[in-house]
This record gives sequence, C-alpha cells and structure tokens, in this order.
Amino acid sequence: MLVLSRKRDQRIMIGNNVRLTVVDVRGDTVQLGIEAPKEIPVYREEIYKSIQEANQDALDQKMPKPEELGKVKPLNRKPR
Amino acid sequence: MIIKDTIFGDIQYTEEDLLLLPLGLVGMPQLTRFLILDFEEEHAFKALISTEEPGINFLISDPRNFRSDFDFSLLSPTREALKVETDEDQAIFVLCTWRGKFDNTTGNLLGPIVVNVKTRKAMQVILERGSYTTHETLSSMADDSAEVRVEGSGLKVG
Repeated sequence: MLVLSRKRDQRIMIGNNVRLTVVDVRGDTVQLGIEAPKEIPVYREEIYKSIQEANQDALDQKMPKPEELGKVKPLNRKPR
Repeated sequence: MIIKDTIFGDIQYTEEDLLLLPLGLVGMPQLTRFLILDFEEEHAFKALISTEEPGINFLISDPRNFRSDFDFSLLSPTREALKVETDEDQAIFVLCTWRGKFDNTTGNLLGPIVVNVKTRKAMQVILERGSYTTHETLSSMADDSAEVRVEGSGLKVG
C-alpha cells in the first residue's frame, strides 16, 4: 500500500479525474473531500461490503424454479 | 449466441438483448453483461442472467412492485451518470434473495440497479442517504396500495 502524509487542505490526485482533499482532522477522525466523475461510485467500505455480501447472498440462496416461485402479481402502479 | 441457464435452459440471445453494467455488480466487477428474462407476463419478479458466467442468475424485482413510495430522489446522481433524461427511460430493479417462499424473500433496497432503457446501460448504486437496508422483507414492505397477491403455480417459462 502506498502511504502518503498530507496536512489539512492538502490533496491527492488519483489518476486524472479523482481528487482527495483532507478537509479536517480532529482526534482520530479525518474528514476527506472526494471529487470524482459521476461514473465513479464512491462508497464507505463497510457499506460497499454489505452490498457485496447481499449480492453474494442472493446468488448463494439460488433463484427459485418457476413452480416454486408461483405467481406474484405486481402492484398496479399509479401514474407518477 | 446461446447461454445455458440452470432454470431457463438454453437461452438464445443477440447483442441487442444485453443489459450492460460496465462497472459490474458491487463486489462482482467481472459480471457486466446480463439478460433479463420474464417468468411470465405481469409477474412481480424477473430473472437476471449472467452471459459471462453460466449458472449465475438472480431473482429481481422493481421495488415499486412492493412499495409505491420508493424514494426516487436518491437516484438523481446515478440518472445523470447514466444520462437518463426522462422517467420513461429509466428502469429500476433490486436483487432479491429467495428464502424458500415469497413471505421470507428479501430485496436489497440499499443497492438498487438503475437502467437507462434506451442505452441498455445500468449501474448498481448504494443509497447511503436513504433508510433502506440490504435485506428488506418484500411481503412486509408492501404498503396499503400494493395488494401483492401470491397465487398458485402453473407457470410457463417463455
């Protein structure tokens, strides 16, 4: 892992399009500002992992056969 | 092209049928090209089938099938990234985890997949600001107007 030291308001560029700014440092909490193109999602790692686990869970539990699934009618949507 | 699926058998498809997730699913970046298949018409669930890894398939559903007030405002950055211009160009679904029966089945509303229907490009997003979780029980999510009805089987797979 590359480890860089930065002071408040200093920045790090990741490639040409992603910029990290150290916004504030208080005790053991660092506030980071992240500027990235909209196509690059930015997540807190623990939330990323919970989605990853949910995706894996959906896969592991296996899709039902049509006869197991039965008929589940969708809600009649009101026009928005 | 043909892909073999565990539920649907041999599926013949063309490039135009594909749903493209250039970034893959969250935590599964290798899964980028999918097909969406109907179990039958007017069914709350559909199947999302990987064309890259045989045997990988997901049960999916539009969250609005269960909650009429699903909060769309959270999706606006994703709509911009996917260049979705109108509501008609947008589709949404969530991956569902089947747990033996519908009553126990959950949907990942924290990480829905947004689709630009015109370009067939899609993205799985995380709604950090919302109040949804990765395992919402779909049957109990249904609001008063939902009228989710589960009927007997006898399905034909098309």
